[in-house]
Formats: sequence, C-alpha cells, structure tokens
Amino acid sequence: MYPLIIDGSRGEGGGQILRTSLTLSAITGRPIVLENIRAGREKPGLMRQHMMAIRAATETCAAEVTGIALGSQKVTFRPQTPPKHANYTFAIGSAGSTMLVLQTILPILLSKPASEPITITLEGGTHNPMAPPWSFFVNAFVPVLRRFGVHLDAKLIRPGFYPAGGGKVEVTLRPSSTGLVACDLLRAAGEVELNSVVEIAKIPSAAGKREHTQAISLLGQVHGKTLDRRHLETITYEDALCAGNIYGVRAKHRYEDAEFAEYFVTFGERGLSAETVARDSCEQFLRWDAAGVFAGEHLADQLLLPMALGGGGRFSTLAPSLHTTTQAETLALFGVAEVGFQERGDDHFDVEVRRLGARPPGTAKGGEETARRTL
Amino acid sequence: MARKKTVVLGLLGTTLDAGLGPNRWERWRPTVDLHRLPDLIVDRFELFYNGSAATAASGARPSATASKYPGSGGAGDGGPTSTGGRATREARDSGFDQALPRTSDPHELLAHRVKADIRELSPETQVNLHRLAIADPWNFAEVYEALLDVAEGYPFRDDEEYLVHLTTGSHVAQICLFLLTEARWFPAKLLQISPPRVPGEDRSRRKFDRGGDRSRSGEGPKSWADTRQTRDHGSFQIFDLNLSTYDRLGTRLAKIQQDAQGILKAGIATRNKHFNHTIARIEQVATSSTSPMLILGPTGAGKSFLARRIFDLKKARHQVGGEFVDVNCATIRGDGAMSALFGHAKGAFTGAQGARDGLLVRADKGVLFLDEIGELGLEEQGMLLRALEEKTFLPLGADKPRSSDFQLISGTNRDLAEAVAAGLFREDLYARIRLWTFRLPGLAERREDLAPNLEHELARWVQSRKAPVVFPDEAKRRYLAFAEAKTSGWTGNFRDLSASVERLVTLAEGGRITAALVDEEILRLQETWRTPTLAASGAGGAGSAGIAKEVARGEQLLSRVLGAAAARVDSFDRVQLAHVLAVCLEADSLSEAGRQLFEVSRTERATVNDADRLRKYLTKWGISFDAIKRSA
Repeated sequence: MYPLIIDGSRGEGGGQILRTSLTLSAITGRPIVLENIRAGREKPGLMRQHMMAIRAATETCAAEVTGIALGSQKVTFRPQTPPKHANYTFAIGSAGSTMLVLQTILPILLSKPASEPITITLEGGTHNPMAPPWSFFVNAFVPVLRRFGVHLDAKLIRPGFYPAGGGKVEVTLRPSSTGLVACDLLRAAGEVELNSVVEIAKIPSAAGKREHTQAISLLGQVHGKTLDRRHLETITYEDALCAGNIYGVRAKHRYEDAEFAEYFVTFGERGLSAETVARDSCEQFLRWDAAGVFAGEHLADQLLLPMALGGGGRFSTLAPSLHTTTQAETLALFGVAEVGFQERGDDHFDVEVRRLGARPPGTAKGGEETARRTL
Repeated sequence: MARKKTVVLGLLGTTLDAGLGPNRWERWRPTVDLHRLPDLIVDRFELFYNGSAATAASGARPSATASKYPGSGGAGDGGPTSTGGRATREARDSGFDQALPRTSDPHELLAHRVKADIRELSPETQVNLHRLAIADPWNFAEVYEALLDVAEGYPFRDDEEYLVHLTTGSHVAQICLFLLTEARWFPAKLLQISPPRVPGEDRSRRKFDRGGDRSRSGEGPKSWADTRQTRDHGSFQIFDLNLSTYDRLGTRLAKIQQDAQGILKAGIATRNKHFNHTIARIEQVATSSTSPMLILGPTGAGKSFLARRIFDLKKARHQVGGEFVDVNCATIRGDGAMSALFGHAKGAFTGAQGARDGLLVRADKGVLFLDEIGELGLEEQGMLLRALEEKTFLPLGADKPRSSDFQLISGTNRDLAEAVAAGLFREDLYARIRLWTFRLPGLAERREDLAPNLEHELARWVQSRKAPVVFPDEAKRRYLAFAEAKTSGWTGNFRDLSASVERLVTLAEGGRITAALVDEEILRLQETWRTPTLAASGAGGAGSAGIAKEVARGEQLLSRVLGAAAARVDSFDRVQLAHVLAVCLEADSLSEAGRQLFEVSRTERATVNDADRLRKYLTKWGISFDAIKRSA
C-alpha cells in the first residue's frame, strides 16, 4: 500500500499530529511517512516523549519503523499486523507522560472488539503538566468512553507527580458485545453538580484548604445551588515520590440518562498562590458553563477519535482549538471520518463526525491523492 | 543503520546531586535531571563516585576497579516495555529505602539514591556505579591518575557515543576530565547541563504555595493545555573539542602560535612555503623540547639570528631562565677554545691567573648557540658530548666537574656527515646534536620573501637612523625586479640584502632612495656576484678542504669585524684583510701584530714602525685594532 505522506508541521504541528497519525496508521494499517516533524519548534524533530509514543504504537501492530532518533524529522511507520489484543506494560519514566502514551494506544485497542480482557499498565508520570492528568482521564474521559460502549476499569496504583514520576496506572478493557457505538453528546442546560477537588502530596494541607475556600467564594452560587463543605474533596497521596498539587473543578451533568463530567484542572506550581490556582479552574468552568456545551476544549480533542471509530455522532463544544481542528484534518487525511464544525453561538460549536470507509485495513478510500483532496 | 548508543560518563556530585529525603526532588540535581531532558536520551550512565574502601558495603558493592565494567556495551534492556525488578518501590513509603545498601559511606549511599532516581525518570537508562578510591580529592595528580585509570581501562566501543559529564564533580575533577578528554584519553564529547531558565521552574528553590503570588512575571497559572507544547526542563550543551565549537578558542590558539612564529621570523611576513613550514616546525619543537637543535644553511641565511629568536620565544614562554650565549666555533679554535668553552681553574696554564667560568657555564639554564660547530676541535667535541649527556664537564685544570644545564643549538653550513666520514667530526656527537635538524634556505631560494625582508631591513635602518626614508614605488619596483630575478645570486644571503639596504639608506639624499640610486646599487650587487666570493669559489674549486676552510674562516672574520660593510670589500682585498684581522686577533697588541705581519720587510728597513703601518692599513678599512679585539 502507498504510504500516506503527512506533513508534521501542519496545524498544531507538534506531538499531537504525530500521535494521532500513529494511532490512525495502526488502526487502518495504512503505512505513513511523517515529514517535517515539529518543524517549527525551537527544538525540531522527535523528542524523548515522542519516541515513547512511537515505540508504544509499534508494539500494538508490529510496525516496521525507520527514523526513530532524537531530532529526527522524518519517520516511516508500517504496521505489519492488525492491532493486537494483548496485555501491555510500558515503563515510561516521568519525562514522558503515561497519559500521552495511553492517548496514543487506547484508541488502537478500542478499534476492534476484544474477546478477552486487556490490561494496559503504565509506569511513570501520571500527573505531569505536559499532558492531561490522570484525574482528567478518570473524571471526564472514562464516562464518555462508557457511553461509546467501552467497558473499562481505570486504576491509579500510585500517583506520579512531576518531576519525580514513579506513578503507576492500570486500565483494563473488558469484552463488549457492541463495540464502539455512534452517539450524540450534547448537554442538558443548567443541571450541574459541582465538586472542588484538591489532590495533594507532601506539602502542607493548608494550601488545599485555601484552594477550596477560593472555589467556595467564586462558585458559591451556581444555578441556584450552593457549593459548600459537602462538595469539597481532598485527596492526599502519601505514596508520591515528590511534592505535588493539582486542583480541579468537577462538573457532573446528565445527558440522555447517562452521567458525565467535565473536569477543569490547574497544576499548582512554585510561585503560584493557592488562590490563583483555584481561580484558574473556576474560570475554566465558568466559561464552559456559560457556553452550555458538552465538551470543554481538551475533552473535545479526545472525543474526536473514539467518535470517528464508533460510527460518528455529534457533540457540542467551545470554539475549537488548533489541536481540535488538526485532529479533524488528520482523521480526514486517513479517510476515517469527516468532521464538520458549525457555529451555534458565541463560544458554542456543534461538531459533527461522519464515518468514512477507511477501516478495516485495505479498504481505505482512494490513494494518497484522494486523501489530500479531502482536506 | 542502528543508532549509536549514548553513554555518559559522569562523577557523582556530592553537593549538586545530594539529597536522600523527598525534598531532593525540589532541587536541581544535574546527574538526575539530565535524564529528564526531552532531547537527550542516555542509554547507559557510568556513574563514578569517590568512596572509602573501609566503609563500603559488602553486599551491593559496585565494581571497585576501572577494569570491570559489567553491562557496558551489552544489549542493555532498552525500550519502554522492560520494567525489571524495581525493588526501590517496595519500602519507599516508610521513608527508608531498602534498596539502598546498608553502608556508612555517604557517597556510596548517595550514588545508589541517584541511581534509583534515574530509574524513575528514565527506565531505559542503564546505570552502572563505579567506586573510585581517591584519598585527597583536591590533589590534582591523584585525581588525574584515578581518572586516567578509568579512561585506560574503560572498554570504549565504536558503536557507542560517549559523553563526559562536566557539570558535577569538584573543579579539580572537572579540570582533569577536560584535559583527559581534550587529550583523547576519553574518546568523548563534553556534556554540560544547565538548570531550567523559567523563574517558576527554578527547582533549585521549588516550593509550593508560600502565600505569595508569582508577582514578577505576572503570569497566570498553567494548566496542562498551556504548557503542553514545551516545558523547560533545563538545557544541555555538547562540546566536541575536536570540532568547530571551539573555533574561537582554536583561532586564539592559532594566533598565539602565529605570534610565536612571528617571534621566530622577527615579524617578517614571509611567503616561502618551505621556509614557513620550517618555522612552524621550529616553533613546535622550540616550545615543547629542550633537546639539541641543528640549523643548517649557507652563511648569511640567518642561523644565528634564528637561534636568538628561538631563545626569545622560549623566554616569552618562561621556558628558559638563563642567557643566550652565541659562539662562533671558527673564532675559538686552538688552545683558547677549551678554556673559552669550558673554563679553566686558576693556574691551569701559564697566564691563567684567575679562574674562568667559560661559555657553557654562562649558558646554564639558557641556550648555547654554537655556530659553525664543524670547526670545533676533536677534543672540544668530546668534552661537549659529555656536557650534553651528563650536564657536567671538567674545566681545564680543574679536578671537580662543573655542571651546566643548557639547550644546545648548533649551526653549520658544512656537511657534517662528510666531516664525520673524514674523521673531523665525532660521529656520536653528530648523532646527539642532530635530533631536530632544520635547513634554512638561502635568500636565493626564497625570492618571494625578498619584498617583506626588504621592508623589514628598511624599517630597521630607519629606526636606527631615526630619520624617515622614502622609497618611492617606482624605484622600489625596480629594485625588487632585480632582486627577485633568477640571475641575482644573493650569495651572501641576508648579509647581502642588509648591506645593500644600508648603502641605499646611507646614500639616500634627503632620505629619498631614487631610481638612479637603485641603478647604482644594482650595478654594485652585480659586481659582487659576478666575482664570486672566495668562500663560494673555494668551496666549489679545486683547492683542498684546508684552503676552503681557511677561506671560510676568513670570510666569517670579515663579516664579524666589518659587519655589513664586508660585502663591499673586493675579493682582491678579502684574503689579505682577513689574514690581517686573524693576526690582530691573536696578537696582544698592535705592535705585536705589526711585527708578525711585516716580519720580512721590517728587516730591510732603517726605521721600523710596524704598528703605524698596520694602523694606516686598518684605517683604510675604517677599523681599529681595538675594534678587532672587541669583536672577539
């Protein structure tokens, strides 16, 4: 099969287009040539965490790969088998986030119904500022995956905070009769249940208390409900290797009899007061709530792939980020799905994902030229 | 082609890498943090620490000698899938890590701590610990030797790329590592890492929430979205001491070298390739060797001048403490030679009223230049050989040897090999003095250097006269056209040129060297070369070696006493004048010389005033008896 040539400098032009391309190549079996990888960045080409993603993707489909080297701007990736259902263990270290590797391989393993449970074990950073942290994955993404028909258990064995890492997570996919299903993800207006969530390790608990206090003062009255002591959660990790603090606002809501949540995270950092950290999460929540959409900026990025693989659907979201549009373009490039963005209002877009016929391997619509034209 | 493995060799930073408790993660630890760099992947880290043998744990002891490098060059266990035994995990919650060896050696403990932390950051990196036993880490010799042992014993492979980590270790160790890498004992590049730049990321003082806000930057908080493109993990630099990174330094070193060669060439920008190559070599030898040097070349090629410059260069580099002693062996032949060179004890011979040190002693810790070394008598040669080999010799009549440590530079225009064959020169001495042999080309062989040398001579004369001299382009072109022509002999080499310039400058009316003056000078030079000097004809003619030698000696005498003016003496007069000078030199007084010189005719005269006759003769040449004696 002709390799699909992908210009890695397109769109967001960084690690995301690389990871999405690997995922789609493994799923469709279509070989790819990634060029101009991270061409516009200060340090162009592959960095450590990208090599991790490539190695992990390679394992799932026994790909033949060339060009894996630090700084390499051209990689070829040729899957030799369809995605393999097996248990995977990746020790990543804290330099590469486990969450980015999970983002890369999870859709690959979801693309085909499993007959046996599969466990993915990841070691390294789990709460790494370079990627969506574990709490986002569990709170916001897992409910969506369940709605798509995925049966999964997600376990945090140990947290891995930046910079020391040393965390461990396990994600188990159980066999599902349905496979991925098509669905619409919109939001019923107004109904949210808020929680203020502090994750903290090896620093004084006063910081967490102040974060809660800030959230109460900023989000005290939302949709006629009071945020009070009952809605405060503090998770203290005794087994973290180093100090860490992440603050989150969780907004649970129901749509079509299923429970979802958006989760707005901010990383505590030296030089940032607890109040500033909490305020940032609260502001993210308020923007999302004012728009009345289903997915915030980051959830939108994550939704596109499973939705495209599951037969399409719709969701509402904020004004799409460059990450989201790049994701959409890459899906079209592979002939997997067409994504349409429709503006509904200020900061409110409907995204429609239509399946194209590029799966299973060998049935990709047209060659490289066709794929390019769809862009 | 498979990627070369990256192997870092580094020293444990007992200060920078320190920390056993959980707070250690809040500090920047170079050896640990370099494994976080997004654009550097280390396949293997050879971590050296200085441990005391007495307190080292017996169990988890790393290889103590540099000859054992388990795991180096092996397949390793790279790849993200391998987890291996991660015993470090088991007991860390208790705050006491059981994976660490029970040892009272704090450095060994820290080394294991660092190794375990590297595993957390970069599981694919294999870390090997090596104990060094350095008693005094501030002792350069000891540290250098310990690290040299490492460099010698380490099994370096072609399919691995080596980096020597310079960020940690005492400055003594860093300097030693640099030197060993520069000398290619470590076939490696240097790795230097720096902490993160962003103030908020400055983990050397990272603290969470102490109430103050990030006031200086006004930056808002960072969600992972804002930072997902890049996050500053610090940076690193790799220096290849062989390559252009060091251009600037290289340029500077080249300039120092050029300056050194400039000293040797007296600042004359010469263009002759052979000559410049010779000078470059001499510079190299002069600055790094104290072994004897031998300079070959025709008379006037500048041997003595060069020897003096070599001395100047060594002096500029603080390599000599003594003097430059310049001796022409042709002038110290005979009985006086031994005494002149090696000195004598009081009463060693008739007239030896006081002790004399001799030239060798004067040259102690300095440079002794023996020009025309082929003229040295066999006896002196033997003594010189001993002085070279043992740095001691026996002054005439003394019973205790003297010592002198000098560097010998010899000069000759004779073929010493021939002299050895003829039994006139000791073979063993010849072998000893010719370790570094350089041949100075005559001026005729470096015509492209005539122009710069002309400028140099002009400048020199102008400076000594303290009056400006103008050499108009047209006249200068005329002079150079003649000077550079193949037909111009320059048999007296630089002496000819120097004399020619002196004439031009002296005769330049109003300080202007006119074309007419140049034409006149050209005729004069042609005249000089048309009637080849006796030195030249003698050497090539049918005369015996004895005559040639005699003539050569006379020539030297002439140039020594008359200087540049010697070139103006007709060959008709040269032999006579040379003989007169030689006699004067040997004589104690003008009268004694006169008596000798007019020995035959004086018997036929009524009144004898030999001294007056001699004085008049000398005056004709512009010299005096005293001047002759002074030149000795």
